[in-house]
Amino acid sequence: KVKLTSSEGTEFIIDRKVAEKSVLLKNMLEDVGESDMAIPLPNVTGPILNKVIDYCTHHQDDPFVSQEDDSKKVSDDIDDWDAEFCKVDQGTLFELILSANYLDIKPLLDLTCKTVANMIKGKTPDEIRKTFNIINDFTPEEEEHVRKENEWCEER
Amino acid sequence: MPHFINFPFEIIVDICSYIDLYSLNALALSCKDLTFVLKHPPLWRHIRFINLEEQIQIEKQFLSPLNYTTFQIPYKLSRVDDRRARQLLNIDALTEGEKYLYEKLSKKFQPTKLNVQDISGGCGSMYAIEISSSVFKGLPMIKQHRMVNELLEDDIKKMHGIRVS
Repeated sequence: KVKLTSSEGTEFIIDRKVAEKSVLLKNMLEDVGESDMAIPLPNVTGPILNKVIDYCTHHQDDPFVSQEDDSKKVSDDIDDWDAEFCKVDQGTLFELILSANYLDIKPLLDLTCKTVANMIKGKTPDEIRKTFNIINDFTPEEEEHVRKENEWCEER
Repeated sequence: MPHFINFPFEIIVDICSYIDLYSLNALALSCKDLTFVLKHPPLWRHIRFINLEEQIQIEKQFLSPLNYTTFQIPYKLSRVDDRRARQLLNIDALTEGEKYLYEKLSKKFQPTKLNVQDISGGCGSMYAIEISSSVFKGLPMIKQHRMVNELLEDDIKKMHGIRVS
């Protein structure tokens, strides 16, 4: 068993096997060995840590993929459980990405990044701004300039 | 609440690696902080460089050895990307005549260095060509010039002069 504390100080007790889905925790546990001390995770809030633990528990028996084959990056290979897992508001999804990155949980990072990629695909710049609440900081001239510069990839 | 453009660089790159070229372009146009996504070499797809050595170097650096050997570009994309490659190599300022000679020379000699400049003042009757290529290795200068002249024979007839170095 491993004890974790979220940023608010909430304590979580999980199986070591589940914790080791996170490369950060795995390395930490290897360094310090079994210990009753809780591992503080100041960058992760309780609700997010809860989600992360859900994910790691569901996937605890998955084989560890060290270096994924980079040649084929597709974003439509998400299974039902994972898709359901990602049906959260955008704030939560982004927090999940940051936590997966911090805790070094590659499959969770891949999953959440794919989900965001799917939100971008097929959208116009304006729709993308709306989706992510991005402020258009181009002047019309600048936008025209970038558009011109990139027009080579608008040809289909 | 975290915001898309505040993500660490490598996360944005990771997300973008799943996105097709057209959506990537839309993303680049959404705000200034995201224009980089089209200029980041690991995210490029189907780019062909005119200069063979540069192409090999970039492929080695950014593409896995697996798809390196089978790197092939559909005809239409290669046309589009030649234009892009030229922009990247900063030769997009070439005039029609310069471009024509440039393409002809690079096709024939696969030069490691190539500059074509219209020195007639724009009318296209005189060009300065600077070229180095492994093809020329070990050959005397006069022979190298002859090779260039032979290739451009028909074109030189229309010009007043040409300078090759």
